[in-house]
Formats: sequence, C-alpha cells, structure tokens
Amino acid sequence: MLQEKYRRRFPLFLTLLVGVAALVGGKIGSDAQNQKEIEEFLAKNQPVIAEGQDSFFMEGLLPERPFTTVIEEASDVILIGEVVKIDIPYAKPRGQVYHNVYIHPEKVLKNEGESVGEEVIVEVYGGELNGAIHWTSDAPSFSVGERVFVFLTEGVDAPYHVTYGAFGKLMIENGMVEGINEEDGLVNMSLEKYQKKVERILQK
Amino acid sequence: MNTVARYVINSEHIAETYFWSSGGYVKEADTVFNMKFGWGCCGESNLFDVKNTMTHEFGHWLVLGDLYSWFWDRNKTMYASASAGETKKRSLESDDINGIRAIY
Repeated sequence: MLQEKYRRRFPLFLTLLVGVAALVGGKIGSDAQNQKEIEEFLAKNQPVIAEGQDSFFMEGLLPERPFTTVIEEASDVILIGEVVKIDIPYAKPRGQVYHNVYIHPEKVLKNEGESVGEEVIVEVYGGELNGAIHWTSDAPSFSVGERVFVFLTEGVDAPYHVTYGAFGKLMIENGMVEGINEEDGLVNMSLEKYQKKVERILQK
Repeated sequence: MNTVARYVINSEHIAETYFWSSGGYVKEADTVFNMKFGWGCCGESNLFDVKNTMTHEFGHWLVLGDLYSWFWDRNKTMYASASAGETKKRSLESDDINGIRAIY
C-alpha cells in the first residue's frame, strides 16, 4: 500500500526535479550567453592604437546591473533621433577627454513635457587629442547619420550624457534596434517591439 | 604619479580608473570617486563603501578587467557592478587572486 503510494509520487517528484534542473540550467546558460554577447559587443569599442602611441583607458564601476528598468529610472530623457554632428574631442580641466554628439530628436518618449531642443548635445567619453587616444569600452559610439534610441541623463556641467554608457544607446537600422542590456545580452529586435517594451516600463 | 581623487563625474559610474599606457607599459593609474553618489566607510546601506570600491579599482590598477556574469562572478571583487552597502569586494575571491597571479 505504502509502496504503491511512493510509486505514484515518484514520477511527480522526478518531473519536478527535472523541471527545476532545466530551469537552473537554462538560467546559467542564458547568463553565460548574455555575458559573452555583452563582452563581444563592448570589445568592438576598442580603437586601433599605433605602436608607441600613448593611450588613456578608462574602466568604470556601475552602481547596479544595467537592466532596461534600471537605465530608464536613471534617465531624464529617452528619445529616438538622428546623429547630425560630432565635434572634435576636447579635454576637461582635470584632463579627461570627451567629444560632443548632436542628436536631432524625432520622437521623445520620456520628458515629453520639457523641450529638449532642436538638437540635443550629448557628452561622450573618449577621443584622440594631442596624439593620444582616450577610450573606454563602456562608452557608446556614434556616427553621423546614424539613427539611435538613447537614454540620457542631465549632467552637472554638460547638457546630457548617455545613461549607463554603452548600455543606454541602441542603433536603429532597417527597423531593428541593436544594443546591449543585462536581461537580453545582445538586443536585436524590431524598433516597434523595443519601443513598446520601454513604454511599458515608463507606464509602471 | 598615481592618484586617488573625488569629484563629480557626468556618468553613472560610482568610480572610474584611468590608465596611461605608453610604449607597452602602464605609466600611471588614477582613480576618481564620483561624488554624485554618497560614500561611507562601514557598509551603510544607503552609501557606497570606499574600501569595497577601492579594492575593485586596485584590481584595475593591476590590469584586471571587469567581470559581467551575475551567476558566476557576482561575489568576485572584479564583478562589474557594486550596490550601496556592499562590502563583499573588500575580500578577494580565488579567481581574483588567480587572475593577478596569471598576469604577474
């Protein structure tokens, strides 16, 4: 009688065990894949440094894992726009080198009430100045004519910077967005789907 | 000269380390604590811990890179994010030590 009871329960227990193992295995696999995708994406930011050329490399420590919800919360403005101009790099008084990127907004998803101007100026770390290359793999990269989906935060002495660096800028091409975040690793989805995702986060 | 400073940076980074490399050698490493954030000494839950952060940044001074896997690396000193009140980066995990041994 007792044996029969256990016999009937065993498949259920086994199913549960297999289910939990599959869930944990899936989580580990997906985390490892996301990490690989993020590292590969950031590695593309490494510039070509000539032999003997001086370089200044920056590493930064983030206060939270860069989930889209976290990036949204830290941002003041979220917009879709086109990069219209990139200025030459300049050094700040303490020596760090930045360049300004000008984005013409097409659609503002956050901070719609306040005018963000005809062109939004975004300060980005890095650039070549006086023969030396200043760079970080964490900074977003922009090119003139590129369409972008960006999360921006107001700076102290600059209009905006990209929230969470490379994690806060996505490139738009052929109706698809490409970038990185903690939950997906490499983001590669339709603009419509990604915009809906961000709008859902904004509504919460 | 290597320096540690504190001022406001326009970034979400709680701290940044800058290396100056020349001729294949690191000539200088400087760390800046971002004063956009609150700093504490003793693991206060609403403040970022100086020792926790500086131990991670010293890892960069020794040319260790950031680690991104939450599942595998979240307890290691070189994990790429640190929350307020966190102190676990103060002590090195075996991978942090092995990383330094592998380089030097």
